[in-house]
Amino acid sequence: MLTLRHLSRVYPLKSGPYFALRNINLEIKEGEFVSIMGPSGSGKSTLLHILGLHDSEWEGEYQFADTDVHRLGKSARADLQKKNIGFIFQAYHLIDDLTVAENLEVPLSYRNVPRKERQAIVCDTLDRFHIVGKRDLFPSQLSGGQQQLVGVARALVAHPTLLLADEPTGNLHSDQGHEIMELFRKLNREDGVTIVQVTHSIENADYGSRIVRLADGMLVNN
Amino acid sequence: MLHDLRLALRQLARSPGYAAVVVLTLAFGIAVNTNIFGFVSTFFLQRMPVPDADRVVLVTQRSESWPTPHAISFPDFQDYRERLRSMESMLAYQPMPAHLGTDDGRAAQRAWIEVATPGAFTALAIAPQLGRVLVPADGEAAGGAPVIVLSHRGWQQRFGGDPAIVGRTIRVNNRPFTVVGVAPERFTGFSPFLAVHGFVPTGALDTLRANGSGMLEWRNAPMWRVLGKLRPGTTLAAARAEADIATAQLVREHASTHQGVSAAIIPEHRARPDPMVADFLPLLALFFLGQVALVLLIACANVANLMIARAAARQKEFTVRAALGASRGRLVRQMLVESLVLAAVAGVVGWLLSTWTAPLLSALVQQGDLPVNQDPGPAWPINLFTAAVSLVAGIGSGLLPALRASRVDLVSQLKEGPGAGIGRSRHRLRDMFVVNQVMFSLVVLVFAGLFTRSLQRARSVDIGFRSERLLLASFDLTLQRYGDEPARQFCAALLERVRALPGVEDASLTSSTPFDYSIGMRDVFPENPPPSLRYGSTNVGCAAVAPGFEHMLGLQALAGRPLDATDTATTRPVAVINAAFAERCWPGQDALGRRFQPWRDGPWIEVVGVVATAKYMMLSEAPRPFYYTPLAQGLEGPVNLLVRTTGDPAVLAAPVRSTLAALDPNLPVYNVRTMEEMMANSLFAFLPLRMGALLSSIQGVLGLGLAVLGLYSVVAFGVAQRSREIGIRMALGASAGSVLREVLREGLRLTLVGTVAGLLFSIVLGIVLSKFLFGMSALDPLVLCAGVAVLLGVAAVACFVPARRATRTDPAVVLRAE
Repeated sequence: MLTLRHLSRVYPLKSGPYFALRNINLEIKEGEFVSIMGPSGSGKSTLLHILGLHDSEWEGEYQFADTDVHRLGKSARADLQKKNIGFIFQAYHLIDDLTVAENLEVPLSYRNVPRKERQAIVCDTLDRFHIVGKRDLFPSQLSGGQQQLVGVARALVAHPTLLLADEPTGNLHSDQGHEIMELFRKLNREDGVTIVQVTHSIENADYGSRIVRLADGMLVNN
Repeated sequence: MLHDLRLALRQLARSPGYAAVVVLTLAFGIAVNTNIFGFVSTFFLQRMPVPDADRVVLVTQRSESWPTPHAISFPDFQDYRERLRSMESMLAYQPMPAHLGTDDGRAAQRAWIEVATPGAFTALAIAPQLGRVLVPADGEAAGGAPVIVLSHRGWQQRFGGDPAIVGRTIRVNNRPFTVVGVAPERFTGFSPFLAVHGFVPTGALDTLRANGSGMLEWRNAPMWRVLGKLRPGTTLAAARAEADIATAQLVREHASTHQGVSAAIIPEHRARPDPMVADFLPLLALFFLGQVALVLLIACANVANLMIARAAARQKEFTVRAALGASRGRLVRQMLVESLVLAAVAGVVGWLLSTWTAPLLSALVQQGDLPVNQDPGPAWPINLFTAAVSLVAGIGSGLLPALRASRVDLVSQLKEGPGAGIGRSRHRLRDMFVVNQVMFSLVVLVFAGLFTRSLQRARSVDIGFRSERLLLASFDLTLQRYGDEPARQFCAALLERVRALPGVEDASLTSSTPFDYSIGMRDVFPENPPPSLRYGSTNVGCAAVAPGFEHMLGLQALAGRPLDATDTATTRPVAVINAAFAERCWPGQDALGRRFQPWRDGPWIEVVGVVATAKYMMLSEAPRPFYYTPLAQGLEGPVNLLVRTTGDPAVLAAPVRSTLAALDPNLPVYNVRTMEEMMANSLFAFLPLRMGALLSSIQGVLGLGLAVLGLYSVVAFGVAQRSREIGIRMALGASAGSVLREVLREGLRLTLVGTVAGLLFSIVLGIVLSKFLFGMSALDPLVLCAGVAVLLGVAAVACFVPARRATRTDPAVVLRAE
């Protein structure tokens, strides 16, 4: 599904170029659940944001399904992202001024889904994640686990084929973390969603099918 | 879009304080713009309420001795009408006062009417509301029918809207006139600036006034306003070229009276309220529009600053939205919708504010005798302007913050959290806004100072006479059909009785009061004219006065004698001239005993006295030649009673009115006011400077307040942003004083940059606009220094408050929160 060839990410600094990622070659197949691990500053999150098409300032080749991402322009990349990718953040990043239902509606509104259809999809999603009772609450009225559950629901509401998660349990206590990881496993096995997560926890990494390790911006174990 | 609108409304409902500050800030800016635009629209933008108003032009003349565009003589009008093929139709009219009465025994009342060529209504395609309009059969030449078409206002005010008014006989100047119709409500007069009571054909002039028909015959009496309607497709340039040729012909044909005369054709709406001020009034209006636009600019910069601060606080939201698929355009649209919603609310509030304050502004100008048209015209141009200004304010204040805030760096902001979004460039943008605010507010402050100082200078200028403790009252014996002898007896009796009133020091009479609209102007022909008078004549001002007038007014006698009781209708015509007259006509010679004719081949008038030159028409006028003749040797038109009192002149208003009423209960008396009131409200004296000073001061205070608010919010926001840094510094030993100095330095740095830019801008603008100032330079050091001092002082206070708050930062609390 994803193929990276000789991918590098360089930050030009006053003191000289800084290689956040260096010559990464990686393949992730459809239906895989991959965990990226490594010490702080090893380039995990940078790699995840490149996979999620948030960052476009890299060199090398990136193939997403049959599409050569490195040949795409800005707008085509944005379309590819909207159509295929969902993202989960460590800090949840829910919009404080919107209710749970409205937070779920946001990605759909950017995909030009008609209003009635949006509302139907949001209702289904709320039901699927058992958060119907929270639909009119604001993020500040939810616990951390509940917020991350909404974050996962929001990432999946537009039915992406690839789910990217940046330390999704980093701000949760262990019980809540396990619930989220169980959910990931279910989504991967039952719904066939390809998942790539960044994690520091070997326990969480064990939920996946493969571990990719990074150190100093280089792939050390795949 | 509806989704964005809903979000915007909710965001604003969540932050009522922020919304209120933004709405009020913009509303003040919008309100002052709407108010000033209302004035400008009434004067210059509204067309006459007639079909094809864009084709209506004013045909005027200039001459060497009278270089501003002015009215023309009736014979000239007739020649133009015959010769100008570019005009589809032409008409002449003249506003004049009249005494309107009925036969029911009630006293006549003074009103203004327009005497117009009888084809005037047809020429402009004006249909009557009742009856008929004037028609050619009513007569253009002397001997026409004594008929009148009432204006809608006259019909309502004087005759209670009587539906049976057509066919009734009323008295105009004590003569019977038949009402033949009522003009439509929107048509207030051929001069849209006025709201007259009726229209009389030129043929009825001799019925209306003694010697009225002479006004239709005198070639050298420029007293008629002429309107022309251009033929469809004819350009103004073509009409002007044709008028130049026709005028050259007139100059050739009437060389004795028309030397140096040229034509000036002006679109009607550019010649208000009088063609004489057509050259500079639009520029003045543009200046005030520009100044209020600056106030709006300051308000927009202020709001933009608030929006940047708010966008910074919402950076996380924008980042997440971008990460979820929002394009930059969608983010910009969302923020612009918010600022447009705020601007729309501000537009409504601003419109309400302007509606409430417009009457207050109008009240500053007291109504004189001239019936100024108070109808503001259709509301849609002003409403459209308010909507446009609101839209501009919404986009102007919201666009840059939206563009900045939508430029999100997803990777770093998602990794590092919401604080990562506030970069140096965003601070620079805020700094730029503050610098602009300070700059513009200094500009409006400086102009407030310049106008105020101008007004002070104008008040202290030597006008050549004593204006204090003077009461004025006007009446018109000619309109009341007094003969010469009864009029003389009336005046003598009046002066005797008024001088006997307690509290009266002296009293006199004059045909024209300084700075009033009724000054007489004439081309006089001196005996043995100097070579400098190319055509042997010169344009001078004149007034007929009662004995002792010069002394009563306080004119400084230079030579000869004053006019006195020995100057009667039967003695030789004499005059007292001013020094400018003597210098113009007999430079370096003794003027006493010299003679001049008041018009070509007129009677010789001998100079018996010379007084110092005073101000007669405008404060800023160059020394104007002027002469006084005895009232006893020629009394025509209005008479102004001037009463010098020992105390407050206003107290004498009632006794003076009673004295006049005792002499003739049917004589309308008008313009009873003090000289100081008259000068304050005269377009030719203090009114422009007074309005300028007031409007500039309001704008100055608003601008300063808004700029200070902007500066305060920037410094306060900076302190809030740097609270962690300040906490660390204090934990490391920084003293409260050093923190205070550092925060103050940042705010004052912006103020200083803005002040320098504002000074330069003020100086450049001041040089351009110095013609509107009186007796001073736009580079007046006192005003510039005072403006800078006020701005710096207030800015220092605005910076000090948040700086002081910064010194109270508790490092333990801040760092624990981190």
